[in-house]
Amino acid sequence: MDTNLQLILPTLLLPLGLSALWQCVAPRRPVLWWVLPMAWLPAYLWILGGALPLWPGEAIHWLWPLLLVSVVLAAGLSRSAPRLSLPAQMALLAAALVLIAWPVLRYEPGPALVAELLMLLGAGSGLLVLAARQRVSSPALLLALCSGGLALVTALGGSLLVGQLAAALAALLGAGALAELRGHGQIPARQLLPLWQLYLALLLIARLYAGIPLPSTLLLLVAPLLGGWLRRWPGLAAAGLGSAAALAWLLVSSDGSGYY
Amino acid sequence: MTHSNIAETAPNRPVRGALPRRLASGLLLLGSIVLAPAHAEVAAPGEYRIDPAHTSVSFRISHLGVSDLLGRFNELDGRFTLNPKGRSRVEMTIKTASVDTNHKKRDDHLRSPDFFNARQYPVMRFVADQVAFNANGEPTRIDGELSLHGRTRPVSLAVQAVGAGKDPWGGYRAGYNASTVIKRSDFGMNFMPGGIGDEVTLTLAIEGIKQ
Repeated sequence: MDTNLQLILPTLLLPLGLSALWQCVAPRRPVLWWVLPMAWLPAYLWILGGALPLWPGEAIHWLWPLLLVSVVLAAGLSRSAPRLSLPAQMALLAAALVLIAWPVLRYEPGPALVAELLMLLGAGSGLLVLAARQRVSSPALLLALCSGGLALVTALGGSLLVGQLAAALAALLGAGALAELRGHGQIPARQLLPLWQLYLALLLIARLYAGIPLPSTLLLLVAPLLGGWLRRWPGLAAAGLGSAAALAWLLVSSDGSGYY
Repeated sequence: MTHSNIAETAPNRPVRGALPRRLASGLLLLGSIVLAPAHAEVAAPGEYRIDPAHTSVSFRISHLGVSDLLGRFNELDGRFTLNPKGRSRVEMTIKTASVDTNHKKRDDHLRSPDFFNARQYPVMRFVADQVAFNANGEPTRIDGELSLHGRTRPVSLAVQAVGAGKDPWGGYRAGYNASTVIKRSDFGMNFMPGGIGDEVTLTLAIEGIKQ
């Protein structure tokens, strides 16, 4: 298969197609909301080379259990014990961050790394609170914008693979974002909690293993928080500017050697 | 013809006094000692520590099917015991983050989760205790296990003895060239199979100092 097609198919075309399919069918059947987060998995498997990593060996292998558990928590706890749902998601985020960072924590522990993890946990929890309380307007558009920014920063910052995973996340929200742009309804922010978990996990992987700069990481962390807090167009503009600033920082701080 | 002979017969050499002549001959003597070839003898059995300054591990991989890319690892360590009549063992550890292809962005990419994932798997390690020798007692093949990217696979190295002998500092050294071909997919490095070849040729030039 052509190399470009090999990149574009799982990264953009497959998740975009699944997104459009979900948008055609699911909004009339709210019980099918969980299909959208799970639709990221085919792209994930394709990008990773086809085999499901049953026992997580690398940081990126924790993504599918994180998504699965988050969907189960969102589907089960939000109905049976709604008050437990948000704390459970926050606990899941904390566990995922530690598991993802564990290989680095084990070999290179240090206050800087712990501080970064705490910052990600704090801001990530804030983001989950905003989403769970339905405070986020245009949630699909906001997440697509931030994931797109993360994809560009990561792909240009050193890891095309992690960038592809983030791009697939952005593409999965494509149809929903388009519907929000046209004013044709929106996906409830709470239903996107599992995908926000993915975003935060991918951001940590990009920082720790692909080496994206700390300022770009912070900007990509603050951008969705601002977007959710400010609401509507000012929020989207702030999130877009934050993502663009993260990319600009990466480009300015890079050594200038050409891509290959 | 030795280095001294070349220097002594070189035309138009400005000779104006005894001091420059002595300095020149001193430098040439030093050069001839340092550059003197090791004796082409079979290495003495025993334990050797790999000299990182005189050892290189390089690789070759296809790029887009149109050319071969060459790279190397700059930080390594290890030891070996080669004994045709007794127990032999080879241990080598290479820091994956020291990958060097003469292009910083590509090296950063190679360290990322796309390839070596150097932060998660900081070293690759080769351990072997099966060594085949020829009739002269020189090693010809080493069978061992390579641990890379979280996976361990059997690897067989074709070995050629280069030389052995005393060094100018009183030590004893032995050198070998070795090579093998591995598949990166065997080690879970599956990224970009279309653009970057699956087969990787590893070439090692090893110098050990007898302990």
